[in-house]
Amino acid sequence: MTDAQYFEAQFGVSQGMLRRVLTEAMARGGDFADLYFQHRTALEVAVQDHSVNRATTSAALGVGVRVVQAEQTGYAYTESLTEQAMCEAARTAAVIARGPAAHPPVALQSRVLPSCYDVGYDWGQVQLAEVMPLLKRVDHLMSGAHPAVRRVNVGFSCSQSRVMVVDSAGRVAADSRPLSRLGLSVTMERAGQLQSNAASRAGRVGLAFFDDACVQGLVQQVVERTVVLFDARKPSVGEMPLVLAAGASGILLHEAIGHGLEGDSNRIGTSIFSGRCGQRVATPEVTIVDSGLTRDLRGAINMDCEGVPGQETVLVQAGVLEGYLHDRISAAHYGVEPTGNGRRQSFRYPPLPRMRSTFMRSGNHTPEEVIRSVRKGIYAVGFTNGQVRIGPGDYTFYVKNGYLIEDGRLTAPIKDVNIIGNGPESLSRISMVGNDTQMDQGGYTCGKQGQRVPVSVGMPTVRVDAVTVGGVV
Amino acid sequence: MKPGAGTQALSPDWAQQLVAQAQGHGASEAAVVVSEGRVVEVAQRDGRLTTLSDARSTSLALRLFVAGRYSAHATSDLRPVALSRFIERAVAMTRELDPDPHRQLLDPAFYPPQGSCDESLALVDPSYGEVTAELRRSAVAELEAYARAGDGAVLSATGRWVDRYAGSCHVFSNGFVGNSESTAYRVGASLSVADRGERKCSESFGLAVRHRCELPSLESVGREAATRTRARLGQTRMDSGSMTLVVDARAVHGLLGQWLQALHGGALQQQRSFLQGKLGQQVGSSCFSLYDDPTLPRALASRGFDSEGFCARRRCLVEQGVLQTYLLDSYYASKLGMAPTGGSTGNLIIAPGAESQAQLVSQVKRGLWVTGWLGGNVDTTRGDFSRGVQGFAIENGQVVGPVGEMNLSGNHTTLWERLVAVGNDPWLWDVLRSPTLVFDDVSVSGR
Repeated sequence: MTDAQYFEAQFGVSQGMLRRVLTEAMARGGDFADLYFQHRTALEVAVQDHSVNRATTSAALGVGVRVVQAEQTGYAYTESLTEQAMCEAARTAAVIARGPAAHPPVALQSRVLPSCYDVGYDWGQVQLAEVMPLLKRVDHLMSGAHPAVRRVNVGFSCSQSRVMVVDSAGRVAADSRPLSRLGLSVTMERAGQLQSNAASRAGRVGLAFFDDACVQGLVQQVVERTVVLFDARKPSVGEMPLVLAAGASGILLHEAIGHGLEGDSNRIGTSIFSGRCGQRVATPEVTIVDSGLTRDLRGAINMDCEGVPGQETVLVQAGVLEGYLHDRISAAHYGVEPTGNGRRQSFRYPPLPRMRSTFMRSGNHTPEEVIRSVRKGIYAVGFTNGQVRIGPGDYTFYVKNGYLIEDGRLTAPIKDVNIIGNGPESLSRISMVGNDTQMDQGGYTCGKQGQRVPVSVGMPTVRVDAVTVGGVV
Repeated sequence: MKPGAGTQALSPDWAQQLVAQAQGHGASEAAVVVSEGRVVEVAQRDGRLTTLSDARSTSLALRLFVAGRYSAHATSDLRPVALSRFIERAVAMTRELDPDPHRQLLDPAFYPPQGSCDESLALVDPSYGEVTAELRRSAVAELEAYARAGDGAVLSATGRWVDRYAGSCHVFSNGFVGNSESTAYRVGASLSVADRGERKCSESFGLAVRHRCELPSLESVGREAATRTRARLGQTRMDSGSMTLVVDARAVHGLLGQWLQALHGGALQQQRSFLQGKLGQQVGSSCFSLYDDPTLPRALASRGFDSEGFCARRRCLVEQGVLQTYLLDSYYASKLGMAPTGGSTGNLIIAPGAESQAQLVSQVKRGLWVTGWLGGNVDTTRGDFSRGVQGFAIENGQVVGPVGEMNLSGNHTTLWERLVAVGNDPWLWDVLRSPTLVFDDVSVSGR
């Protein structure tokens, strides 16, 4: 059974029904309408106090109906896939449009999509017995990894999401998206003092991904990054150079640049990057990409939630701003092709321009050169979260682990500092780009307008000449 | 779906049947919650409707206790055959887990006396059914118009309206049957204007109520969005230093929310709480008194019972700086060997003081009036925190201008000891009803 046949085979959604629902959706006109079918099953299992003593399952089934006229959106969804319920949702969504009825598609045509993930089995069919040994193994390894360990929490979550987009142009695109994540957190004790930390490994991957090397790497990372906290302190306040370690520090791109380049805020002129395409925004060493084709990563998508095939989008090419991240509405506004960034949390939400895997390409410097160039500054290694205001361009991210740089060398460990800067300013202050781009395998989730979607980030070692560090006086 | 109409989904009969199904498959105990809701959202930007969304949903949540093991499940696929198979598989899966003696349904002694209903809280607006498409459209038009009104060029202005209904029926196999229903309305406006260079100032303002008649005038909401936006034009940074923080009543959640994470049983039992061992001890200055009250009529976080069935009641969390209780659900209470107290909070109230915000500001020599946050996080194990802030600089008792792109940093064990004054201006439109708070000697990182 192909992905496109899934909803007919499982739920009786026939081609005739699709045409009739689309006819209903376009009954008052509109530029286009689309139907987003989703069937998602998910499992979460966790270890606490050395016992696999909790599990959660969930199932969600429904279809979202969207009618778009220019930049206006009508939206409704139903959790019942009967023709009657779908037509009623279509009539509700159609209220936005004003005009003569548009003609329904005569024939439905399947779109060809790339293949960016592949699992040997369906997470929707996974058995608890397959996952429990992994959890017990991680708990066992972590508990024995260091004498200071006091509490260990291990969580595993996985889901399979079957999706199908059918639009009023007659295009059909369908996908089956696996997603899984192994999270580990620990509390350690030394001389009566407690410290905690956490890390994860995640992707659009099957159980085989979480092999010995993966698990041992995760445990080792959590041990190292927790032990170091006992000697860590907050740095002093003020503005200073920042060196970002390769990998997870791509959070800088996500917050400082990526959100500001999403098409929805740019088309209405409220982003600090509005109207700046073609302008130099960084040194020629800086090239930034957002891609759905990063194989097996959380940000990979064979198609977006508007049925647009997965692709790679260059945001900044050799320091020049190339373009924005588009959904179909913003692409139409700018008169360009959609970039495959129309994503949504579920059938309960209309799509928005969202990032996928956002990363910077390698530059010319060795990581050692980059660190050596700083006399007094911060080296940031581990992150928890970030945020941005896209109008002023002010962004932040939170550094859980890092080091002071003194006279070109890493010295004392630091912890729990927020970094704040201005997107375009920080971009223009990237003065050195390392030759070591690394995609991070952490389980990042991006939130926007109440919708959460899985994303990935990647980064080489990078020097930013000045940011404001939330240290202490 | 009409409030009070007793739709079929919300009658206890169906939930009872589902409990019986779970027990039929071998669950010793089961807790079923059937929920339904409707959310209508309308937005207008720059003179045109941009969003009309109408969502209705029904879902089932199930907690299972099988042979000393525990699991939880949720589904929106309510086709009878699918649901039946879902429950059967959920029970079978639970048997494979490790046993956990601390998982039990709540002791019925903690349930509300006569079970059931939250009607006395008046959480349902009797006029909810009268909300029309025209009313929503005219509301967003008015919100946008007032956000746009006033001097100066506008890049974009938006008005937003959301109305929602939520109902649920709770049936637990050890005797609990409860219903809850509520309505809510949220209105808001945002404005974006050009600032220096390529910067744009965008701020929004919104609030929520349970009864439509309690909404403030849409003009006041729209104008507040405009005032907040234009006040931020020309933002600068202050010099780094230790200074007095005047945290606006509407921004206090950004600090208190971090502090509250450490009060939960899970954080305590897992040794991730800086409040461990602090029960009955001083955790803040004598100005700090905090109450949890889920029983306030019409309030946003009022309820008859919590998700475990714990009867809602007013309680004191902090009395003049002394910690009075932890938030313990039945599970973590059992693990900690303590009595359960209820693991979640309703409306939170910080006891107000005597002075107005203006009076408090006038006493500050050098400080920062915090009106918003940007990112940041907390280490609940140690209490260390750092947050991005924006607001207005205070010099010699005067508000001198907008500042931002700065960070706060500190530790929650010392921060609340430095709470030196509390305003008389509690903000009543939120789950947290806090007045303005003044903290001395906080590290601010800027220029």
